[in-house]
Amino acid sequence: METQDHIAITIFSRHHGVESSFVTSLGDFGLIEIIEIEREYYFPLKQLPMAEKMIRLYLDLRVNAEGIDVVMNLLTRMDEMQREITTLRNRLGLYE
Amino acid sequence: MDFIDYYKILGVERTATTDDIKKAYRKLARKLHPDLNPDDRDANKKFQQLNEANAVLSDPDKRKKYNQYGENWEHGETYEQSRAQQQRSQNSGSANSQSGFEGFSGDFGGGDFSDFFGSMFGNRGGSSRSTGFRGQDLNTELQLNLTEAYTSHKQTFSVNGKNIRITVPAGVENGQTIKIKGQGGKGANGGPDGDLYITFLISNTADFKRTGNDLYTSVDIDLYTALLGGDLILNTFSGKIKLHVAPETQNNSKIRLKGKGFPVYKKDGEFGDLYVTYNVKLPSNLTEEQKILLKQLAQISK
Repeated sequence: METQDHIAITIFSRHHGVESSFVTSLGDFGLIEIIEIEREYYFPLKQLPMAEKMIRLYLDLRVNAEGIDVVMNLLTRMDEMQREITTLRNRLGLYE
Repeated sequence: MDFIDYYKILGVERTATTDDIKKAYRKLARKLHPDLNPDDRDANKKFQQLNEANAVLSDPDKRKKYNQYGENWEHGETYEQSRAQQQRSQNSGSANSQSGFEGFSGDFGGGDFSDFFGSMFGNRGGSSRSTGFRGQDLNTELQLNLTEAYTSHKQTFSVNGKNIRITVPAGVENGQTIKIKGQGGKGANGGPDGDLYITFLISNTADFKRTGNDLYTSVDIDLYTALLGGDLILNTFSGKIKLHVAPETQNNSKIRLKGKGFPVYKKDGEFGDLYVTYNVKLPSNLTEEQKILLKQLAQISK
């Protein structure tokens, strides 16, 4: 696997001032996919926006990894519902 | 510029302790945090105000100054300075939004404090929370009418001073958001740039309504065309269509014109259907001759 599509957990953690163990725990919960290449741990760059969202929840609101798992699940559901509402609203426009 | 009541924003008394303020801030932050309120601009704005209130009231020096000047903040020492500064920056200010676009940042953390804060405390600094490795995502809205959404077209606009040219694909839906990769804020320490999200707001026209890829319209036909049939011309987004009205067409009956609806998003050459409802208009101001003929018609129809 190419490392250029991935970001090292050490670099990511240092940048955000969080312990690597916290980022690893996000991997344990299946929130990010962690891979090991030559004794260094990485996660895919495409998961960076999501990982940074989780870091903000952790630093800004002091939500722990378990809480983040719950929040992310609810946000996914909210997103699906929001999309459904948009579709239904557009259909409702027909009767207005 | 208006006075901002930071105590009211945090929902605490003026006598609140630092601990009370911290608690109130955390409680409201858990409610208004932008990551928990995606696409809710009202919540995002409130979160910024909340950060600003917290920055002032949790800092003993700032709180003292705020309490001291209160609503008479215009007499504050920094006000005159900042006003002079503002005038300078206004003269060299650049336009940020154009034609229907309104750029707003999805970032938070108090980066953008109010003018009121700036005038009282000099700098416009936000909180010291860590910035993302990846650049911030930007959100913007684009208003289109149905005619514009019907064809793929190029559109140029500026977000945060940067000109961006995009192709709006035909068939984009009301409320749909598209991502323009790498057109958000710059990343830090070699991190990737953020993305730009554009939400389309598409309004129906007076004549056409759209749901999904189907279009709905109605046309008026007179009684005689409804009874005897006839041809009429209908204007659509793709040009004029000749409609053949079948004899004995009922009022409010609906016909489907396959493939004459809206283009399907990112599927070249595919179209939804067009539904046409016939409104039969009864004649008014009947002439004597018409009345006689209609009476005859009524007689033989008994």
